[in-house]
Amino acid sequence: MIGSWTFQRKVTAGFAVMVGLAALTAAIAVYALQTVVASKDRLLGVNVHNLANAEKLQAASNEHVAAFRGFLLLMENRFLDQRRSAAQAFEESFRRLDQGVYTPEGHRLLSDIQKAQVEFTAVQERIILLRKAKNGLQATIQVEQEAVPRRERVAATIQAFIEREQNLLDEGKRDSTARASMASTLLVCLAASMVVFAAATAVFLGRSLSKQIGLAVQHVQSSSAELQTSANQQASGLKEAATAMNEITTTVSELLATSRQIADSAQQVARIAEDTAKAARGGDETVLQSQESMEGIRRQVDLVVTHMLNLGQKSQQIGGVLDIINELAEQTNILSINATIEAAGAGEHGKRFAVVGEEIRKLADRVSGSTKEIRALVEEVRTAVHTTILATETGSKAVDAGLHRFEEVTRGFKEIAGMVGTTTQAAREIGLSTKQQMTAVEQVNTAISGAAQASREAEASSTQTLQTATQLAQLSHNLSRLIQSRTAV
Amino acid sequence: MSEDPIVAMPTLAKFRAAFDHSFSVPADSRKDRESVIQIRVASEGFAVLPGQIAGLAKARKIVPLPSRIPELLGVAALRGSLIPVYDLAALLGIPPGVSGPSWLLLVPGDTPIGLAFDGFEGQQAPEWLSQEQGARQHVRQLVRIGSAVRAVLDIPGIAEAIRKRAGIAEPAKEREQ
Repeated sequence: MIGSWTFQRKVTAGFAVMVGLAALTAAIAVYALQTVVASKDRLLGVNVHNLANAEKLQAASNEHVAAFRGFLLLMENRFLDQRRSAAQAFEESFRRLDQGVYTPEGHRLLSDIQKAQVEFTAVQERIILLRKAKNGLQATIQVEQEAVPRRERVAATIQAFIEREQNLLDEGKRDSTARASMASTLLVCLAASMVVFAAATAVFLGRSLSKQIGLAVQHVQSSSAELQTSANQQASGLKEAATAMNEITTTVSELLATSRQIADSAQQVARIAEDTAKAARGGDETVLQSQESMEGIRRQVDLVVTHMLNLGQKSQQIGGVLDIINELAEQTNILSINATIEAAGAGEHGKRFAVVGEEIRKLADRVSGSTKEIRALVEEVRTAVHTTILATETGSKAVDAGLHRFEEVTRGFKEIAGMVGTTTQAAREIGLSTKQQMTAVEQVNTAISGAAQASREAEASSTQTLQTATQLAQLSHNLSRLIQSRTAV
Repeated sequence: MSEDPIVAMPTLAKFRAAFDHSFSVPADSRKDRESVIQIRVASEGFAVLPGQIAGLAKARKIVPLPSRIPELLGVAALRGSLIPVYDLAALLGIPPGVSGPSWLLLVPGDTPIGLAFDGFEGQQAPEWLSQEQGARQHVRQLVRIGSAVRAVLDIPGIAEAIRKRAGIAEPAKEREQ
């Protein structure tokens, strides 16, 4: 788990442990010093003070006894005053001792002192009264019987207290010395532990960092080698890119020239389209005029058809008249034949009549032949009329078809005009688009020039990268050698 | 229209000249050029001598008449009298024509007979070819008119045959004629 930690984490963790140990050592040192200081303070501030106050208490007791003795001897009031002062000093010392004592044994001893002192004081009061009453003897007796034992008890209890305090002082000294020694020992142990841990941490971090740095250096070496290779490839690729950019610049320049030509051609197309539109409009007018002419032709053809129909009817009427003439000729012929027959029946008398009949018959034959010719001519006329009517109807249909064609041509001209308008618009749009394209191509040319410059700079940069990769490889080699030498050490 | 008199006048003048010229020719010069009447029976052409018939007429309405003679077509009104009409094609043994007879030959006699035929084709002076009787029944002679040869019908023989079949007696002078 620790092996996957980063350098920062490992170093931070090692220093954190070191700081923790230092903090623990400092805390223990502070605690030991405080303990020693407290022991010393208690030794100096309580035990010594209690001992001093005990001695003061003993001195006050002695002074109180001395003042009592003086009054008993001299009966002077100043001894009473001294006795009161001594009593006050005693009480003051006792009070201080009562405040400074901290052990039950001390309080028990103080209570004994106080009790003995109260009893002794009470005895003294009675003796003082006796002495004041001039009863010296009684007073002396009571002194001997009551005051002295109590005085000794007071002195003994005070002495016991002093000894007790002296023992406490000695115990405090020994305890303070022991605490200081223990603190010193603990600090020495902690310091030794810190040194050992720091050494172990340093060794661990050194080995771990050397291992990881070694791996990293190996990676850096391989990466620098790959970087060299790719820098070489990039340099060659950028050279090719620069060459390609130059070719592209040339091509774009040609494209620009072509775009200009296209723009000029589009303008020419627009002009031609406008001319074509004018021609289409002129053609439309011409077609309309031709259409009107064709309408006139159709009216004339209709008139011709009407006349031809009339001619056909007249021919038919002529045929009817010819039928009548033919019928008359035939009747004449029959009459002449019958006249000839009658003349033949009349013999010699009918010969001249037969001649007349014969000539009339011939005349009728000729008339009949002429009517046949006329009929043939009339039939030819009627056939010609029919043919003409058919041809005229065909012509009329052709005229109608021509009119229809003219309408289609008119529509075609209109469509051509519309398409030419669309073409004009398209040519203008093409010209505009080509101009925009030229602008775009110029921008592209500029951009490609910039790209070529950038590729050249990138080529230079890749050369610089190659140098840097070489230096990095050298640096990683040196670092690897340094790590290996340290590992060997 | 202005050409019509120019075209028509020569023809009319030619007709008039031919008509007038015919009367200036002597009558005797016409004798050997006796004309014949050309008729068409069914699809065949024949010739008839004008002297053997009493007249020629268009066949108007022929009223069918029941008879034991199959060649009798019926009766027709001609020149104010009612005459029997016979089918000439049937009498000659020719298959009937498509359009049917429309002309009549009037055979002279006390009881005139009408012979119906299909067409009248004119009257013209022929070239006489022979005087012998033809191989065909009721054919008397052959004549050439133009390039065509026609048989001259024996109208009196046909009339005699009809009258014989109908049981009609005819005077001898007419038969000799």
